Amino acid sequence: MENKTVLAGNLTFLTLGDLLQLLGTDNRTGVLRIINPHFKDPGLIYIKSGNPVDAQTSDKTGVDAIYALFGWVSGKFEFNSEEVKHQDVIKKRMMAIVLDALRVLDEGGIETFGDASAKESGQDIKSAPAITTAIKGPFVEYSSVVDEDEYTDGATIVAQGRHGNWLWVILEGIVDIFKQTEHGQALVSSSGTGAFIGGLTTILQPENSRSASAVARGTVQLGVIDTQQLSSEMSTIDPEFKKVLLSLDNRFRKISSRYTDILNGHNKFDGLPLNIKPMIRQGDDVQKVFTILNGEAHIVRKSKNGMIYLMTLGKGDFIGRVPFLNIDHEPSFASVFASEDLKLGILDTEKLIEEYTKLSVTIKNIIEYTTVCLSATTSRACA
Amino acid sequence: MAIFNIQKREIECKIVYYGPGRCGKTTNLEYLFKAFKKQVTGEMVSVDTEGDSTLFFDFLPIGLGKIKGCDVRVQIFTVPGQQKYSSTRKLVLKGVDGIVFVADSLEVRREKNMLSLKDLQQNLKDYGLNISRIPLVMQYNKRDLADEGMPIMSVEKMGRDLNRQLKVPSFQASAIKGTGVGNTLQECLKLTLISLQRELKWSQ
Repeated sequence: MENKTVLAGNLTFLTLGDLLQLLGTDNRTGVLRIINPHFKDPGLIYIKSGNPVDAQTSDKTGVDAIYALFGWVSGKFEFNSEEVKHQDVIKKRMMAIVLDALRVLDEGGIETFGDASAKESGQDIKSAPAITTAIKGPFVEYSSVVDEDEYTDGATIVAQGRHGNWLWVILEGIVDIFKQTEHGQALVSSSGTGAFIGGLTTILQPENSRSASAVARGTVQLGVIDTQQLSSEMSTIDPEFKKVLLSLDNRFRKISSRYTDILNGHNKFDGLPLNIKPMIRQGDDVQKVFTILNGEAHIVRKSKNGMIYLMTLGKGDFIGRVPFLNIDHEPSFASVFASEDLKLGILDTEKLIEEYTKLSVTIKNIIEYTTVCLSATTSRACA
Repeated sequence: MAIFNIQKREIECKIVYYGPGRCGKTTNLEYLFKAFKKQVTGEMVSVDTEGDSTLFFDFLPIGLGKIKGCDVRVQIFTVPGQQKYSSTRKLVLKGVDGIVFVADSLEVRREKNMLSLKDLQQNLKDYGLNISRIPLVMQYNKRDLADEGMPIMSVEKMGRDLNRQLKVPSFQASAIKGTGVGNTLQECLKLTLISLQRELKWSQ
């Protein structure tokens, strides 16, 4: 079967309603693919002689899927002119679908993704208490900002568990970061100007899902970061150095989960195995950076409130002192306990520093912001 | 902006019925749909929007003849007046070729008419169109209510309120009985086609 893209473009230029009308006017037959950075899989609409006959997204089919796709207000589309063998699941005519979907959209019945008019998804997000001090990021590097987005109060910028490789920097306003826990949504932190939405993982492993939700508090101006440029920069870096960055992000993800556990009343030692031996004591003079080859390393901090288990690191993670990362963990502010099977390798510190100095300002800013968040969340967990 | 469908050899233009809520836009379309059943292609789409329905159907007018060998097909829409239906309004008004403004003759709706006309002007402006240039026809609807002793405004008064500056053709109508409905559309189609011809310099 011949299968070719005959029309492609950007949804912010030509909306789904316009597209369906265009294909309807010309009685076209084929498959319309909608690609949105918030979703891993594209949405598909099957069109026979100008009328949609079936559709699918990752979790919906038929007319429900088409309605959901009207919420994908930005992204790309492709129309492939091809034979459509799908059964006519959708009986409504094209214009009936377009008009009704827009009505539901205007009435707030369709969740929108990737636009200033994004509506809140109706979760229990607002009931969480507000953290008043927002973590600010480094000075914004405007040369990497390719576009600006405005979000209104309560709008969800990213949703936990969704896929997406967009990265933003906050230009103005405050964004609350929520994590889904067993007791509902918990506010983990608040971010201010210079802070990033989406982290190192967004650039290094774009296939990963979002680890938290970000919601605008008041009107928020965001700068869209050119992730393609950053990804191509990252593709040339040393693999060992890349592992350190991923491990840094991993630490931040782990401390956020730990913090929400503690908020939910978990014991300060919950999850810490018994059969462990001390490897680095808090305050030890350690200058080296190790990588875990096998086994586990447990990070524990001694604070004025006693000992607190922070996280367990595994294969591929680093421990020790990374010269350019100012983390409030081991060796100065935390101890490391080793599992019996722990095996370590030593990383070339000089090489890491050399790789770090080559990075662009934006990547350095993201690293700095991640370490600030890591330290702030650790302090909150220990408070 | 009419669409030329080369495949079907059709010129497709868009007529939108605008006016305050409950003024009779829907009744106009329902009457047209029934009265010109043979010329309607496909069924009427009705979407329940708050305060009013949004309607749509496709229509092949008879008697307009062909233009440059192409049939003329007309898409007829009503538009929801409520502020929140901005996506629908945007889609409906995008590329509109002609407008019928339906005004309510009831005395108590006087202000609503004026506000709606102002609203139309603003909406068109938002989409880069000028109310004094676009083909526009006024319809003073619900004239029959006078027979039932309801207080309605005189045609002169409505003209002063709504049409003093615009000076577009106006018709008295009773959409519920069908009086004036056909004439209104006919005039709007005529103005629309003249405007298209002028725009494309076909007359030369």
